[in-house]
Amino acid sequence: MPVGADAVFARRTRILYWVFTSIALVFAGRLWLLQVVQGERLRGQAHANSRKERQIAAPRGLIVDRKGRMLVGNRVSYDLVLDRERMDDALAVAAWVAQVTGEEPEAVARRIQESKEPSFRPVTLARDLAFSQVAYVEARREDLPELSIETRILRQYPNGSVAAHALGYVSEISEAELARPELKHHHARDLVGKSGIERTYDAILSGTPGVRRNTVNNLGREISTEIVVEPVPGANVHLAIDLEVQRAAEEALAGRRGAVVMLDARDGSVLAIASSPTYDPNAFVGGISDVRWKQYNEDSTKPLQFRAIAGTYPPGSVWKALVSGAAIQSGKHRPSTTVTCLGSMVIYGSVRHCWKEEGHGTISMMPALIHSCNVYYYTAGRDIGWRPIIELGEEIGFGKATGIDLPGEVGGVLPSDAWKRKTLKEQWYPGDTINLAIGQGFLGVTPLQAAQFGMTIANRGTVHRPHLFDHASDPLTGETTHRSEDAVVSQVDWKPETLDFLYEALEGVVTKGTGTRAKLPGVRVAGKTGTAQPSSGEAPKGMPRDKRPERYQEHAWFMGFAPVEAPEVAFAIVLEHVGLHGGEAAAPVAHDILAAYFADRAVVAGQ
Amino acid sequence: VIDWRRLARDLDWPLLLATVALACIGVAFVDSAKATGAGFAPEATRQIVALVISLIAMVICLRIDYRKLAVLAPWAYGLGIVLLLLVFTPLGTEIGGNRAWLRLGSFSLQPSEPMKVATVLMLAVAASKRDARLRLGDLLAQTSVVAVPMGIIAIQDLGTALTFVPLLAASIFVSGLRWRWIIAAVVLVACLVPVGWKYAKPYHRDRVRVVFNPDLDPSGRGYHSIQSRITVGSGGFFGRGYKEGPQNRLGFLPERHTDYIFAIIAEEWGFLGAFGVLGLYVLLLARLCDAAILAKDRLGAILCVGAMTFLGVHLAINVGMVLGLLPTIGIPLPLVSYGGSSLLAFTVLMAFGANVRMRRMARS
Repeated sequence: MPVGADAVFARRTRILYWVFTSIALVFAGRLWLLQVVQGERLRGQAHANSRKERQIAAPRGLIVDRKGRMLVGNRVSYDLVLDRERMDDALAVAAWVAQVTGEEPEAVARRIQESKEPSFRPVTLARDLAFSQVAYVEARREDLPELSIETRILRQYPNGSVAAHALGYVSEISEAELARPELKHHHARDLVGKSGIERTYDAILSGTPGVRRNTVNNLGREISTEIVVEPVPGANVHLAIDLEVQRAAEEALAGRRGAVVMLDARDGSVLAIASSPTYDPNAFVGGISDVRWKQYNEDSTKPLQFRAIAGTYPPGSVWKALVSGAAIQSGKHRPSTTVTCLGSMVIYGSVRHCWKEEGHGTISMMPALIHSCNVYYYTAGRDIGWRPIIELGEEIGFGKATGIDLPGEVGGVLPSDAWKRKTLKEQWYPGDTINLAIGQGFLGVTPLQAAQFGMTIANRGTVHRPHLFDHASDPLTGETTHRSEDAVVSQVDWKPETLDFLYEALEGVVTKGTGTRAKLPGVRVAGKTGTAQPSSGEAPKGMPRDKRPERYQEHAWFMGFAPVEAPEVAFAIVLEHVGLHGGEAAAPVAHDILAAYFADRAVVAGQ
Repeated sequence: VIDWRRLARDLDWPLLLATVALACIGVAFVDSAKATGAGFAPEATRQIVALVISLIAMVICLRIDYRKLAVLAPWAYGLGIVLLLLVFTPLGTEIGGNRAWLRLGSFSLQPSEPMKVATVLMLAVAASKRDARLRLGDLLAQTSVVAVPMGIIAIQDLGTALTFVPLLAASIFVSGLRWRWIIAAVVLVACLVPVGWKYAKPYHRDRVRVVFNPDLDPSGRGYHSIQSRITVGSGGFFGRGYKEGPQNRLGFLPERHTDYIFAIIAEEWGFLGAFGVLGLYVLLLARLCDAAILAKDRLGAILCVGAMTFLGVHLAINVGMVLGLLPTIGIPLPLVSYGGSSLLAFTVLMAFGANVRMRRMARS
């Protein structure tokens, strides 16, 4: 008797059969929907599938100095790329790649396996291979067709760390940056300037990517290709920087912390802008390693900080030049007014010292500035009050960013009664004026602002916006595409007698005063030294100078311009916590950068 | 001595021809998916070798009375389990992310495929040993026969293991489980679905989500689904022509000679071809259903139900996935997808159907 005689079995077997057949019918319906109803549309998608438009990266523009010398260039990086869809044996590939790169095979295998990209996207296993490695890979392509060499254009900094902070670096654009309006010319995965000139002039440097239309297979392998839109390379940016002066500045700073700024006083263009310690931007190319990044960030000397525009320091005695100007301009304290310096004085109920213990004797303003007498300026400050000092400071541009074409500039602090009430919830005390008179207290000045101060004297009052950018040129034709616009941001209303005084006094500082080490034979140099008490305060009494912790060591300043008869350059130097006077430490740096600038005019010693 | 006339009369020719036809279509489309230029694709050559071996196995399976085969069932079942376990030894190898293969010299075997045959055979043996009423012991026997291999396979390949669940369900269903118990089981499973969702691995959940909205992740998890739909759809009514499908030639669809081969058939042969292939499967299902009902004994009947269920479930899961109706589950299209182990298993299962049918009159 067949089992079919069991009615339940037969019925249920037929139910099963009909379940499957119904499913097959549903499939037939779905096929009809996809193939006949939506067939046209899906066929169009299949067509679009194989025709991919891809961007052709535009080479980024070069950055050169004022004489056309290369500061930032481009180079090609050869990367080893793995196509996982064609890969048979991950371990074999890993072992082979490890041989090329000198890594552990396990490390390579982990990179292959841990890639979060979908499997049809290639994985980069090694970046920036040496030529010998590329040759090795190419020679063995046959055995491992899943591996290939891809090229990328990378930034190159031929002078290493020179001007690193000012030039900046590029890296892959972040999500947040993609949303910013000033970077809207970028697409995901583009390289974008992250700091410095690379950031400010990113739009000029970037160029316009081209479009390539490829017929590709699923592996992205091109079967045929045509260029629809040629990429337009980015324009070359010509900076005002003079590579030789820049190098001289960095050599003078080497091994110390500080900054140098030298401006062309006639138009505000930046000849040199250096910050120390520095870093090698080549390390950021193609993605900095986490270890290196951590090192830079945790370094207590802060190599990534751009001290020239983002470091603020009390200006110390450099400020006395400004106080002299304010005194003369206000008419409340004449250059001929004499003060007797006995090494210290009692003022507003407390004892204030001059740096010269035995005192300067009875002096007028000229020798007081030349020899940087504190007692004279305590008196002058008390006589004129804080207001004229702060007003002149504002006119010159202290307390606010200069507007230089670099990201990350800070404005520093120009204190006033209103400022103090707002930030410290305290009124202005007479003692604050005394501190202000010698460039101490709440004052915070960037080296760039100090150089700008030099410019206002050198220019007889005209303040040009400091800028590095000179012009941009088309890399193919050499034609100028962008030009820097000279911007006069303010005009200090110096009285002729004020300028006469400052010219004579500041030249005196270099010829016979505290700044003689800045002397450059053949060039008349004017300047002012400064030895600033760090804002961390005064060292405890009786602590020997050489035993003081570093945070109590003074900053050394030098600010000035040259040549006196027809000023061309204005500059400022600061050396952080060197524990030396401005004349000892900073003036020699001024000498070095001036020697570099005036190389063809200065009288070389011994001739 | 073979009585050729009787053989010609009793053999289930529609079933055998449909089986061979599907296997030949499989070889043709493996070649279409893999051929790079002139000449036969190496995968197609291997598939032909597998087909020849499968046909020999089929003839042997037809020659031996299924009741004698049933005597061998425990041995086949035991051997199958041993092979499954060998995958976990150094003999096992990983292909496409699943460690489900045994490397044996120059060819590799996927033990879960022969295990399907052994399980059907063993299940039929277990289900036939009962009296008129279905008892709890019968349920337990059937359940354990299926659960053991399923559990071992699930460790490495959840998708394949899942195909064993309907096998057990079908066997219990046709054995006559009361409707009230069936409804209770369905309700229970329905209640367990949200729990399963909660404990599912994130990538399993993503696979399910992508079915409903492949554009969530068009270049990642939705990629297969979208490309498969485009491949099927661009075939139109008449197809792009054999070896002429751009989606196939340009390789936009991954695993197109294995799990997604139906999409290539649909692209190159169009609605007509794909519908025809579905028709061949329905024919097979019908012949197996028939054989089950005509079977002389419960052993043969369950054997046919098992073969029908495995065929139907693989068809449903695979084509459902290709047409974007089910999540991505790596299950071959029976008889057609590239892979010798699977081809062998399904030809033998089809042979069981013919075997049972031709011996329905034989004396026990």
